[in-house]
Amino acid sequence: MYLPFVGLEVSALLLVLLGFAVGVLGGFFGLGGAFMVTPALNILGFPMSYAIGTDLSHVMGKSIVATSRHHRFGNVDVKLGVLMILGTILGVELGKDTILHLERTGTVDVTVRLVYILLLGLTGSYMIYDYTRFHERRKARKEVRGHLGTVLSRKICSIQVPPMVALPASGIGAISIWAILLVAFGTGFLAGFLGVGGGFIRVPALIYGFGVPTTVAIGTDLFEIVFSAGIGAFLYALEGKVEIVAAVVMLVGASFGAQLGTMATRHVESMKIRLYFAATILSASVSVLLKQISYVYNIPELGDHAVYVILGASAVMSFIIVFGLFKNAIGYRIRWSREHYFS
Amino acid sequence: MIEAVYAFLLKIFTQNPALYATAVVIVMLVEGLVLATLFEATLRFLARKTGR
Repeated sequence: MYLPFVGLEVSALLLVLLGFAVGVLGGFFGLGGAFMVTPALNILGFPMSYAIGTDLSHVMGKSIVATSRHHRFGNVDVKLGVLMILGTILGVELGKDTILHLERTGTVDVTVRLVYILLLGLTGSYMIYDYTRFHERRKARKEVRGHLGTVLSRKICSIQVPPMVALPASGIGAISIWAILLVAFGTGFLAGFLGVGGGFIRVPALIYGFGVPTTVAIGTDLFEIVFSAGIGAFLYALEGKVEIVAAVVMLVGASFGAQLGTMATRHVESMKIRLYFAATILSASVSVLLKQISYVYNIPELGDHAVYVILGASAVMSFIIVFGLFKNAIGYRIRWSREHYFS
Repeated sequence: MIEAVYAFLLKIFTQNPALYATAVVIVMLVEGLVLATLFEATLRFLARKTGR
């Protein structure tokens, strides 16, 4: 299939499959998936700016599909999402300014990569620790303080600076608007600083910062991504850096994948979702680490391996999610048949 | 035929970036909504057919 804006001949099936894989991850984890799509399009021959612009466009469409399904499941807290958007916009601006300042000092690449590695590595490690602690407590039949009870979220929710707002969809009785804006500003700053959509920062921030249930954090983040990716797509398209034909084709696969990914959140317990999420961001962290080593020691092959690590990990994770969903669906069908035909 | 359409659109869009940017957002929005509705309708149809 010919792509007129980048002047490339690319297999449509490959684009649909790429969209499908990232759609599954997006619907399941609440991520845009730029960490997977941008390098993949780059490998296919897209110049980097086109890869980012095309990715943002298809992410917008995919997030609409995933958000609509999450909304039906009651997983989208619109009030929280709108407040988060306001804080995020301000944070992204400051993050971008910091990057421009670092660019003038000539230390931008190293700083961004190190922050990326540390942030993803620490978040992923903490989530795995949280999962194992939960698992051990459950095994020992001790009281499990569910995902709503982290120390940080209790502290943030106890800030009594008016105006206060109730978020029933997230199970929060009253929380200061300033606390929401502050966390959104922080995650927005990191997103702008790292040049990413920020799903992998916002989802843990919503879970651990506000005590939002995992599936609601995912749905609310996707709601926010619709707007952030939409603005990003518009800005890149203004520069002519969006290959719309590729975005349209990818969205076909992505929308199907996003529906499956979203449905899978109903069949996988929330702590398991966090474990998978942690594994995905840890592999992204390893990928950036390999890239950094390849720059420092001038080993270009290692840079290629870094791309394959993240693409491979994402593909495996998509497979695990879809396989789990179908296994569960078949199990349900067998149970249903037994109950209705043999009882 | 497709190449001619591509060339025509490419000419219009490169002359007017704002039109292209608006078109990108509208196309993604409409495609996303249409695909979401289609999937929903398929699920409803299957549920009705299987009685679940």
